[in-house]
Order: sequence, then structure tokens, then C-alpha cells
Amino acid sequence: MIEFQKVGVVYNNEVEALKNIDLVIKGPTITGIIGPNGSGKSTLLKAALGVVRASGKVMLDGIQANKALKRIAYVAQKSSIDLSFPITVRECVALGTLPSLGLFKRITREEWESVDKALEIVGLSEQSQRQISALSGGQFQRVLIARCLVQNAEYLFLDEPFVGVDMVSEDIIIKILKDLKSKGKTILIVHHDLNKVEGYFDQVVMLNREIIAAGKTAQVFTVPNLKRAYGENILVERGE
Amino acid sequence: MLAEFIHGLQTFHFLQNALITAVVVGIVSGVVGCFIILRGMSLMGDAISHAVLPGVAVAYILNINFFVGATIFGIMASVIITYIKENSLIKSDTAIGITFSSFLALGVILIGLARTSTDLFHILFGNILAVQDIDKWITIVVSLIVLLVIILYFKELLLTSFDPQMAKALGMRVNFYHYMLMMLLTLVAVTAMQSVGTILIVALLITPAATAYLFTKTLKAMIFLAAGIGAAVSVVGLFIGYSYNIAVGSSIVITAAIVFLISFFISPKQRYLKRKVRK
Repeated sequence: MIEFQKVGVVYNNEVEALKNIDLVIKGPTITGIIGPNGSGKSTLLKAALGVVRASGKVMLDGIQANKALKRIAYVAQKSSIDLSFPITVRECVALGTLPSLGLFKRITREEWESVDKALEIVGLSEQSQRQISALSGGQFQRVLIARCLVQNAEYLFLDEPFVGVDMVSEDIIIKILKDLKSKGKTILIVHHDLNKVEGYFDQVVMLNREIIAAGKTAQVFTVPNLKRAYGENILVERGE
Repeated sequence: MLAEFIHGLQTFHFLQNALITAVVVGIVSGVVGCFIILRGMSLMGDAISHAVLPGVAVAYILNINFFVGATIFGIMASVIITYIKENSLIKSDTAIGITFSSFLALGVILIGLARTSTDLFHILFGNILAVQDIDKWITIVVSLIVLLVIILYFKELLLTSFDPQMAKALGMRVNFYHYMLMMLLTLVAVTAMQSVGTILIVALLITPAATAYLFTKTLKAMIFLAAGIGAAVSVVGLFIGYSYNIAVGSSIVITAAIVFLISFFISPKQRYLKRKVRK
């Protein structure tokens, strides 16, 4: 269970990115965090991880989240990573073993096996020795998901995992995430494409610097809530 | 000419010192240079290597080893640059420009005031043929320490260079590794000062690493190749400088630049030739 208790974030002493966030997310679940640009979606994840300074508390099963970071696998937006870095796909996935490694310790054979298994799950075994710069956007996102699998964390925080991703990769990723949920994981996804919300998420947190609505997707993803979050001009078209 | 160089190596102690120092400096510069270019900190390397100059002058004035003074000033410069960058709207290249030019100017004034027999030209452009035994040993020990730190913290340096967001999310002190790298960079700048001088150190840090980057797809391979290129260009540069009686530091830098230029055209990663042929 993740609990946000009166969480607030102010950037540069003037921009209030998040205010007074009170939220409880009970897992296992796939929860989408949605809202317009600049609504604090990514900041919410960063506040939980302690990457940005926040007021209030974020608790993970009763323990302060920044003291339980090994239980969280985090994938930042792809744009924050230098894709020309000299690292192979296999090595990149193996970074997921780092939280459990100490000084002097090397990656064990079992851990390399888990790396290869994760690559097999995301369908990139054949690309394992390629440099990451040779991958498409979708393939690289699958590499980052494989890294999460290796981390074997109970909580997954993913920031815009479907941006710049082809349909094949998106399908593979969502299937893996649904499988992880069935194995008891709690997954938080920052997402901007409203068309996929109902198909992907069990729960939705709708944000615009403060919580507009949170709960089961069917109850939260409604026209009145969307208008409150995105403004009256949002165009909503729904099929039967 | 090669026979003469080899004969010189067998005969002259100063040339032996020069060769060993050049190779060690070439290796350690190549290794640290990999992290510098991958983190986009080439300008920082330039700044720190210039900033060690006042430290050298102060060391002469206080009659202490130049390593101590240079290291203190190098670290001071990196702290000032990082502080300005993180606590103001000023961008890092501006902070670097202000800091390193001020330190360099201060160094030139202090060298003048120190009234030592030290030749400013040798500090600025290196004088590896004048390396003393003590300096050679300090270079070796400092380089070993730098390499040991990199081996011990390789995983952490890899992650904080490649994906700092993930590193932060794991609770790693990303700033600690930044300052650690600055410290290592300062130590390398001080050791390389004898070989190529403060003005040209950045070339030894960046050029072999950039060349290696063109051929490798893993960080480990890049590090080994950069170290090899750093050592090789240092030997060739020393040979050319000694044989033709020209500045060794500059010979090393030009040799490194030529190797980079050739690599730029033939590297499979760069695909320059392939693209040209296709056109």
C-alpha cells in the first residue's frame, strides 16, 4: 500500500507543483496518473522516491518510502537517458541487479541468468549484445522494463513508458505489466494518452497540482472530472 | 632515428623518467577522460586543469610539493563551479568560463610574485624531459590511487553517468560521485601537468577517450581502449618531440588529434566512409 500524506512540492521557492496530496493506493493494481502538462504527474513519483524535496510523507506499507527504495523499481522518462552511451542491452538490463550488489561484489551467474530471462520475456534476447543506440524507441523501453523485472521490486513506478513506443512494444509492455500485477505487484504509471486509460488501468489518479479525483477507472474517468482537470474545452468523444 | 631514441632510453635517466611518466599519465588520463566525455563534462576538465595553476604558484611560495597546492585549487574550482551552477540561474558553461579564467589569471600573477626559477612556459605547456624521480613516483602512486578508486566504484560511476535518475531513485548520492570524479579529475590534471602542461591537459583527457568512443559499445572496452591510446600517443609524442627537438607536450597532443582524425573517418560507428560511398 502506498500512502501520500499531505504531500506538497514547491520548485524554486515559487512554483507550486503539488499541493496537499492525500492518496492511498492499495495493490496489486495498475494505476494510471493522468492530468494535463505541468500538472505534477512526474513530480508525484519523484516526491515518493525522494528525488525532489517534498513536504508531507509518503509511506510504503507503513515505512517511509525514501527508506524503502529497494522495494521500488523506477523508470524515468526515456528522454533523461543518453542513448548514445556505450552500453549493451544486456549490461543495461543488468543494472537492475545493482540495488542488491555491494562494494566489490560482482554480478553472479544466477543474476546473469535472470537478466537473460528478463530479455526473453520482453522479446529482446537476440538484441542482447547490441549497443542501446541501435534499438528503436519501443525496444529501448522494453529494455527498461526488463531492468525492472531484474530488480524484482514490489512496486513499479513508470514515467511515460508509452511515449515514442510502437504498437508491438506497447502491447508487449502492457501484457508484462498485467502479468506482474497478477503476481502481486503495485504499478504506478504516469500517462498522457487518454484514449488508452480505460483499457490499461484498474485505477486512475487524476491530477492538476492537486487531486481532482482518484479511484476505480470507471468512477474517476468521467467527463465532469476530465473537464475539471483539463478545462472545459477538452473534446470528449466516446464510442458505444 | 628510432635506434637513437632507444639508445637514449638506455642511456639517459631523464628520458626513462619521461617515458614512464608519459605512459602512466596517458593511461590514467584516458581512463578518467571516458567518464568526463560521457557525462558531458569536457569543459569542466578544461576548467580544472587551468585552475590548478595558482595552486602550483602557492606551493612554490610556501615551499611545499606542487601536487598539494594544485590539488587544493583544482578541487576549489570544481566546488565553486558546481555551487554557482546549482544555486543560481547561471548556466554551467558560464560558471566554468568565469571560474577558470579567473584562476588562470590569478595563477599567472602568483607565478610572477613567487619569483622562482620556475618557468611559466613549462607549467603551461609541460616539460616532461625535466621530470624528477620524485615527481615520477608521485605520478605513479597518484595514478594507481585514481585507477583503484575507479575500479572500486565502477558500478556506481557507470549508473550515475548513464542513468542519474535511476541512481537517485535508488537513494544513491549522485552528487557524491560527481565530486569524487572532480577530485579524480583534479589529480589527473596535476599529474598530466608535467607531461603536456595545464593548457593542453584537456586534450589528453578528451581525445583518447573520444577516439575510443568511436570504436566501442561498452564502457569497459572504451576505458581499456582509451587507456591504450593515451599511452601509445604519449610514447609516440615523446619520440617525435625528442627526435625533432620540439615541445613534447604539443607533440603528444597533435599525435592524439591525428589518431582521432583517422578514427573519425574509419570508425564503423561513425560510418563516415560508408555514408560517403553511398552518396
